[in-house]
Amino acid sequence: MSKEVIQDQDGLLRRVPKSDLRYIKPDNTISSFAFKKKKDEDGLSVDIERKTSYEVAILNNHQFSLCKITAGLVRSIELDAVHDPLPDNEAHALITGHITNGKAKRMAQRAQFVMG
Amino acid sequence: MTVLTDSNTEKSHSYATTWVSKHFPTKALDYLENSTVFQPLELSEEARILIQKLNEFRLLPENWDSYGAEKPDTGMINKAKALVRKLDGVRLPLFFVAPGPNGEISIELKKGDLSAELILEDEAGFEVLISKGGELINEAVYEHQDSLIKDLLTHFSA
Repeated sequence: MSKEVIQDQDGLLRRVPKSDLRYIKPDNTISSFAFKKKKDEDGLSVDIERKTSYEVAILNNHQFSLCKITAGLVRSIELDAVHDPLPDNEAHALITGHITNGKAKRMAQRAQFVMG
Repeated sequence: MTVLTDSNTEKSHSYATTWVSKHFPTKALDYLENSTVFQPLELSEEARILIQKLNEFRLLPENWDSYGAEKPDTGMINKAKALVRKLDGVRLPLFFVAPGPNGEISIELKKGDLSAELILEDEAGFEVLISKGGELINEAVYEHQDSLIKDLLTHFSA
């Protein structure tokens, strides 16, 4: 699978667990933890919007909402977005760099719900 | 052994204190009086809701977020519950709690357009993210709860 360059205007999709208001707060904003990566991973998993559909990316619309940030936003806070296709998900990408709690918060504050 | 739950009231605390002082009149009573579990606080409705939610974190399965998240461990949950009680004790505006992908927990306070997110990641200290109007305006790390609470009180009374 070939890797594509992610443009600044590309949308990046991230699932947000919504059951029991887990990451979606009562004021309908998103917890910063929705954009925090696991310590042992190379980056934060997202899907490139133009290479998938919302219906596929959300996996299960009963359990998750789907939100979007742009690659330009990611790069504006000194992170990067790189295409990382998987055998079962051509749209997969990673947000890379040192994702501090503050940077996770900034991504969550600018994310927009697109489904669910 | 009697297990006191979060919904127990001052009466339960009083009973437990009396029972322990009768049967274990030395160290055990000191422990009980200083224990965060047995604090005889009149919890606000917000605190009760958040503590209930923290208790439910124990039931999370592995990979509950679909990205491989771990479930919070019991020690971290108890630490968060104790902090919620302490914040509620000084009537800071409790708003939300969330589990993180590595077992960490966040406690969020909110009043008007001011918010503070307290992140409990390990044994050492707390990271605090202060926002105003939906924009992050400050990040700080605290080693001690007392200085954290003092600054939060100043922040939310401004």
